[in-house]
Formats: sequence, structure tokens, C-alpha cells
Amino acid sequence: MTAMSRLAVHSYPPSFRERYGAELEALVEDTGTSARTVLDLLLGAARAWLRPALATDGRRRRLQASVTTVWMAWCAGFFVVPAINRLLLDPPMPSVSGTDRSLLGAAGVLLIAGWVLALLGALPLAWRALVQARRGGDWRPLRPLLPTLVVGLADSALLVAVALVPRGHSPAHPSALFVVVTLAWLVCFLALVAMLGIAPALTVTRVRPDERTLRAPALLAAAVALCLAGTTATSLAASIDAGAGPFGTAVLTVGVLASLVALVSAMRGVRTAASPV
Amino acid sequence: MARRRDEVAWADPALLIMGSLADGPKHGYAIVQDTQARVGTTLGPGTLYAALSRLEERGLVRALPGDDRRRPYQLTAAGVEVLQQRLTAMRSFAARGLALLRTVPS
Repeated sequence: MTAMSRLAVHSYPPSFRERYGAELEALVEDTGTSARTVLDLLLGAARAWLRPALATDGRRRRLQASVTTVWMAWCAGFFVVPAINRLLLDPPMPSVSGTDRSLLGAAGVLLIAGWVLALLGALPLAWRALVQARRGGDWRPLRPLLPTLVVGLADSALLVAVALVPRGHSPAHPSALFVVVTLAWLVCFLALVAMLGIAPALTVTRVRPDERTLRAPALLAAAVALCLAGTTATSLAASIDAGAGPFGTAVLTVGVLASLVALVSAMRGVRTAASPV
Repeated sequence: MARRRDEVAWADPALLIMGSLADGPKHGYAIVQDTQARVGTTLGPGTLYAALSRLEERGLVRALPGDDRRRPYQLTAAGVEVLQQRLTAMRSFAARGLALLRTVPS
């Protein structure tokens, strides 16, 4: 199996890989790999993310898939708000109106609400993971969280460094040290956001919480998906009015895609949670 | 994607898979080979497992215990019924189409 085809198989949702991953890899080894095979796998992965099919243990897997997918979409899309705020308000663009500021304010409120709901939903899962690990003495499911913790600490340290390092004579001519430290922090931050999205989802998949534990997080995931859609929509409206430029367009595109994925997945989770057993 | 060099696509991957399983359980590679041999269509691994997962979710196929990583799949009773209905409808469609073509002046 080539590296590209292995990457393509790994792009499937964790729940799909748990059920079909080994078979899929065996089939790719049997049939051989080509660019067409890789494309076919990537399209299959996209389909699996957007319309997951969960045969065995279906209800539990459906709820788990919704929770992990919405969490990852949230981590991919929440930075739309600070990015658009930075573009439009720091420094304030002349084209930004009072309405735009209100829209950005609303996006900020939804951002905070989304984080509160996401963390509330994570609590029962974190508790289940810790209890299970402690009882069984098997801490391996929690391993994906360790690198995230390390990168998080490094990011915090770099943020402090950014605040303490002398900036230079003027904002237009920052010191070389400030630029280096800021870039290092930015790279670390992006890595942290990526790991923050992936590591908890991986951990939940390994812990395999039962349907009862997943029900409340799945319902809260729907609220998080709505917050994500709201932050993206309000930021988009402000950006269209004020003109955020190509970088803003790129950021908003990520936000829109993340919102769509989150809404579709959350809707399926709510349907499962609400349907009779 | 299901590849075949025809001008008009004629078979859904799910139907091709069910048709392949009609004569007994097969694992993924055997389904791909069988479909290629019988109808000249190559099912990519992504396409195959997208369709297989849907069929399994709907209870039309079931996975059997297998050696290492290659699990054979088998039609369920519901799958046999659905396949029969689909093929009967296709046979009627084909018969009517061929009959109509005979009336068209060449």
C-alpha cells in the first residue's frame, strides 16, 4: 500500500475505520493502488463523513459519530470569529459599519456559548473515560490526549513570550525576535487546534461509551452545530458588508464547510437520540 | 467509482454487489473480481465499501466471520427478496425495451 492510499484510508471517519478499516486496507492491497484508487477512496471517505452508515451497534455508533464529527467541525470552524475580528477590527477598517460591529459582537457571543456547550457535552464523556481507565487500569485510550497537552503547554508559553518580547520601534517595523516568536506561536496554535479536534475524537472512539452516556452530548452537539452555523453566518454577513478580502474568504469557506458538516451530523444524532429504542 | 466504458451507466454498485453475492458469500476482492468478469465493471474500494456499508445497515447483507482481515459477506433473506424484485423489474424493462426496438425501422 502506498503512503497516499494509506492516508486516504485514514481519512475515513473513526467509526467507519473501526468497522471496515482492516477490510478496506486488505482490499486496497489486493487490488493495487493507483491515482484513481486514491481518488475513489477519498470520495468514499467524504461520503462516509456526510452520510455515515453504521450497521452493527448502530445507535451507539451514530451518536458517537455525531458527537465526534461536531467536535471536529467546531475545532475547524470556531477560529472564523477571531480571524474575521482581527481582519475587520484590528485595526478597524473604514468600511466597517455599526451593523458589522453588532454582527461581530453576536458572533462572539455565539462563540462563547458554543464553547460552553461543547465543554458541557465533553464532561460526561471525559468522566466515563477516566472512570473506565481507572477501573480497568488501561490508560491507552487516553494516550492521544498527551501530545495535545504538551502542545497546549508550549502554546501557552509562546503566548506569554509574545506578550513579553519587545515589539520594536513601531507596529510597521516589528523586531525580528517578535516576528519569530509570533510565527512560532501561530504554528503552535494551529497545531494545537488540529490536535484539539482529532485527539478527543480518537479517545472517544477508543473508550466506546455506551448509548446512555452519549445521548446528552449528542443533543448538546446539535446546539454546538447551531452556534457554529451562527458564528459563521454573522461573520460572513459582516465580511460581505465590510469586504474582508481573500484571506477572509478562505477563512469563511472553512467555516461554511465546517458548519454544513456539523449540522448534517448533528441532525442525524438528534434523530437517533430522539427515536425510540 | 464503478468504471465501465459505456455511454450509458446501467448498474448501481449496490445492485452489482448483491448480484455478485447471489451465488454465495464472497469477500471484497472476490466481489470486485466477479463483477469485473461478469459485467466488465470495476468497483473501486471506496465505492465497494460505501455500498456494502449501506447494504449492511439496511439488513440486506451480513458479514460472516472471516480469516484475518478479509470478511465474506452474504445476502440476507431480505436481501434475496429485494434482489429478486429488482431483477424481475429489470427483466420486464429489458423485454419491453427490446420489443419496442424491434418495431423501430432500421
